[in-house]
Amino acid sequence: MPGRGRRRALRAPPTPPRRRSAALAAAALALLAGAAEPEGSAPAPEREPCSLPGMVDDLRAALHDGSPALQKYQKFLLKEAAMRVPPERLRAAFAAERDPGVLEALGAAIASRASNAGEPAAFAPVVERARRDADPALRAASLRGLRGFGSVEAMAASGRTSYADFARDPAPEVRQAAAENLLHESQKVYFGHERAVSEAAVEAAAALADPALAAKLLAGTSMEQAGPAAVEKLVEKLSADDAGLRAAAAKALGDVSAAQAGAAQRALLERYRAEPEREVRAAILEGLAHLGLGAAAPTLESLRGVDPALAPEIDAWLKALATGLQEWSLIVREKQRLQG
Amino acid sequence: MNRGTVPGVRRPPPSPPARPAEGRYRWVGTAGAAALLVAFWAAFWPRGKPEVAPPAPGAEAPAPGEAAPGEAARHRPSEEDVVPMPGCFRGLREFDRHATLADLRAAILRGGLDQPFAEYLRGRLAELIGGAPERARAVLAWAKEASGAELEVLLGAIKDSAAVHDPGVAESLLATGEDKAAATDLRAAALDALETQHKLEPATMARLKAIALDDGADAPAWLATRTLGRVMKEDFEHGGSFEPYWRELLAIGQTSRETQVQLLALEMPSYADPVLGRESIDALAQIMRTDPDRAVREMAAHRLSVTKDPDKVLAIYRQAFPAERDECVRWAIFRFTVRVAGAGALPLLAEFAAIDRRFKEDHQDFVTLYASGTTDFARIWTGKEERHQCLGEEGEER
Repeated sequence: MPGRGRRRALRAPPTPPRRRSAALAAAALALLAGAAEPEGSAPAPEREPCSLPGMVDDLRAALHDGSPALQKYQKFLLKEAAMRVPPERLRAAFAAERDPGVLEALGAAIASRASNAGEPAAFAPVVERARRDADPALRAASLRGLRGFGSVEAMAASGRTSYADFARDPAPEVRQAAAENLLHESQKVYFGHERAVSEAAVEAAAALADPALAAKLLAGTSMEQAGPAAVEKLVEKLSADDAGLRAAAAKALGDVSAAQAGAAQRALLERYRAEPEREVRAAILEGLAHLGLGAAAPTLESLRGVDPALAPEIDAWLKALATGLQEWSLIVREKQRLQG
Repeated sequence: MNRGTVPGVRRPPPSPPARPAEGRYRWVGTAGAAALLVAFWAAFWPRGKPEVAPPAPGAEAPAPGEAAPGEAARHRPSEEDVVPMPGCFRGLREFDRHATLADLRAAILRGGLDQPFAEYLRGRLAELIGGAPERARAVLAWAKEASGAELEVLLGAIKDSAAVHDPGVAESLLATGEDKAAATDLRAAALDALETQHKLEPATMARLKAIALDDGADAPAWLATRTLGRVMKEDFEHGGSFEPYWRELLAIGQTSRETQVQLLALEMPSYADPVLGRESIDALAQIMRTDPDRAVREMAAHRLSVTKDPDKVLAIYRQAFPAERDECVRWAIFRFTVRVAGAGALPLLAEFAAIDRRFKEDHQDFVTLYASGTTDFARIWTGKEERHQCLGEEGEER
């Protein structure tokens, strides 16, 4: 290899010989600060012991008029406190709270504690408040407090509710929070590998009256682990009134596991011939390509005569599949690049 | 099973794995954090009764949900209310509202920063810098006089600010990264801040490559390489070309005398997964066949696995497998053969398993996985049992 000499491992960097005395630093600070703006007038904050009521007050104030950095800091502190505060105090603070922002943070603190302790039942106060509070803003805030934790498992453990129930809530902000929680849990908590989350998302999508939100939920949830009942619900959504939802269901069917692929492919092929909308047909082509990857080429070819206007789309898929790439994410990206 | 989302690699992207150099430059490393915590507890944690002012008469907090309280109305903790953790301040709300850059600098200089508060100061400083290049340059000047956690907060704030995208600020950061007279941690932090760029010009890439190939640069060489790779990802994911970046990274991978830098240069495309052109294949094959470091040979095998010319790569793998003596490099060639050709690779895997019986079960695993009907290598890989001890302590390929 050209220029290759003896290797050496990276050394620890030398300690910078630049520590200055406090006086020098203060002088430099005065000079440099003066160049940017006048010396400030804000008194330095003083450390004090933490308490739950104090942290709640501070968060309330930060949410009222604090900077985004302060809001983030105060939320973080409250979550950090969760393991150090007696749980009954945390629950009491949560039960008494009426400000949605603070309620969400307290709900997240309870969820954090429950998650760290591995106690799905400890999510109950947050789940129950999300179900029962008369104020929809507080129901939605409670539900958002569960974001980022194993909330599907917690609801299953409660045996009292599921995301499908929240998807039927009369308040749009609650339905929105439910969908966002599921998307977050699928993508960021389980990275698409959790069957219960995939199936909860399909059930919630089926229960949602808002087709755009249902489509968003299906589009953003991995169906890698979805079982036959969930696939059946997706097939039903291929006949939904809303074209966007039909398209989302078609793409979701393309994402199912090999064990479910046969049923998904049959449903997609059947729908392709009956489907009136070109946008949905294009989504069905994508679903079929996803199911088979390189092996999907003959299936796609067989559909060329159904709608000649989609021939360019079929060609684009065939070209992308012909690259021989073995991962769906790469094939989709290469198709987009090939299409310019 | 550790389900890495870079197929064929069992570790979590997108952040590159912690390496010695990166570990040193995490803004509060484990040792640093421990030292800071000890200092904090010694300096601030009350012994016995908390030394706080008693609540002012009539200064109770309002009922939950009422308007935000003023500073005077904040809850003052009783002894039984105290939560054993750092991070609470009297006067922080006022400070947040009125602090100038200079006030924030003074707070940073006071030291004793626990991690969350340092993050707050970094975030607030970034907000105050905003899109103003002159403010970013003033903070950079302060950073040149700082070290340790202070340096990390100051340069982190520049990195998080909108002003980092100003060409003049970016140039100042690069110049700081190049400055051989500057301290290593300052150079490294400046190069780290530069990874926020959406795109790099060829001249900038060349300057980063020069830092990466500077034998004496240590951590800045590693950071320059990572910045090249991270901006490549950003640019590529927004429709740009990866090729100019990859040319420089490949050159670093071929010629760096620092194994960690060389390895990182070859690793960085893993986070964008561009389909590499035919022109890279020979150089990567040469590295895979001849590099003295096992990890580098494994990485070259990985890099060949997303290619515009799968037939040529398969031929290279076929030739390299019997010539290679290391089990882990052979395992890399084996599994990346699957990534290149999917089920079509099974006959070649059978050949490999006949050469080295340690791979017979792997061959059978892949036969079974493809027989299930799964086609996507990302899913095949998550279902594959790990049969070789090729993972290091940090989850890196070894």
